[in-house]
Amino acid sequence: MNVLRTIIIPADLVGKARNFGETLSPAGANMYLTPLSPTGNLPATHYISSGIIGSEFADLLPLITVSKGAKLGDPDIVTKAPGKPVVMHAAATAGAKAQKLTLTATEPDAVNIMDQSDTSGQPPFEAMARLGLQMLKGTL
Amino acid sequence: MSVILLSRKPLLTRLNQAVRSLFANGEKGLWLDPSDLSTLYQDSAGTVAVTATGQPLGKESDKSGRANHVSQATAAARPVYTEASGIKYLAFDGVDDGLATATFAAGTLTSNMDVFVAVKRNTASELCTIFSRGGTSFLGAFATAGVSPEGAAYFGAGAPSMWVDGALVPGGNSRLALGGALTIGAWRVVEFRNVNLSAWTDIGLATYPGYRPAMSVVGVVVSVAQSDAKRTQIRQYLANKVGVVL
Repeated sequence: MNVLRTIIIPADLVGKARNFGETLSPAGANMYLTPLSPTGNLPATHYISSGIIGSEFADLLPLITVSKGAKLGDPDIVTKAPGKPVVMHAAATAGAKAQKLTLTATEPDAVNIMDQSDTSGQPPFEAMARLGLQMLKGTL
Repeated sequence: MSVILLSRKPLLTRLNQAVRSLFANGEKGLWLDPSDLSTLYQDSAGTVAVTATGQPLGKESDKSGRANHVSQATAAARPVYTEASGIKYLAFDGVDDGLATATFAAGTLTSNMDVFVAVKRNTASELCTIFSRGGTSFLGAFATAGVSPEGAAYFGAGAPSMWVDGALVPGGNSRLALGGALTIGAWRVVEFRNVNLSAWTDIGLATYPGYRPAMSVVGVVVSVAQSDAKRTQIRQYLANKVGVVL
């Protein structure tokens, strides 16, 4: 089954996150290429990927759930279910071997990414708004 | 009292045939028709068919016969096949979704082509482009007045003109002009006439990095430049899919 996931990664961890993505599956390559920042200007503080992914990958990740407060005007309730960093690292290790890729990201990297990233089922612009982030402006 | 039911089928069949005829003699181009599920796949290899709304679109076959199929290898960057209000379309999220053909040799497309797309702009994104070649050339850049910098809607040689729902976009070949003509939340049939695509080595839909539109797309036709009569048929073909009255 496929599910929508919006994943926002701090810029200093994006290289490790990309490494996990490409080694887990060929369909996980080239993720987290869209830069974000609070102002929309450089430097990028985060990177985002958003779309429908396989549940076998989504189930490894933490999941932030946002629900409305009990009463009108109450703040949203944000909860975070933990991910499975050990399982993800093991899967990436196997995927790297199968695809003849190099996995440089470590198990502690997986823990860091899961602690510091924001993975939710929200559409991307809602997740960005919740975190006070916007896509970088540029000149075409 | 008698009720006469008028079927739209003969008209749709005729318009479909008109588009098919654009490529009948091996003419160059591309024809994407998301309403034809036989051309849609969830994966980029083209092995898992799209069968229902909400599924990702990893590959769409080109109906022109030129094999300019579009695909997206990265799962999270695939647009979503959607059916709503009787319309079948691809929804691009404006963040990372995009589709592109495989690379082809420069000169595969010609210096005088027409590009048609039925599109709905979904947000007041600052600056986006509908089509691009890699991260260099672009076609169909649109912007928001008071927010985005002005610039040309098209990068490259030639002297294209832009038309929306059959009317020449006032203001010339300008991003703000196109942005103004693309009402947020409304389907529009956009034409770029007499475009020079001879240097293009792929066709990307929402692939220009950093300038991906949040948009819905119901069809794309890229052909050698046509007569006004043929253009009217192509426009009508796309308009019928989204209920736009021209």
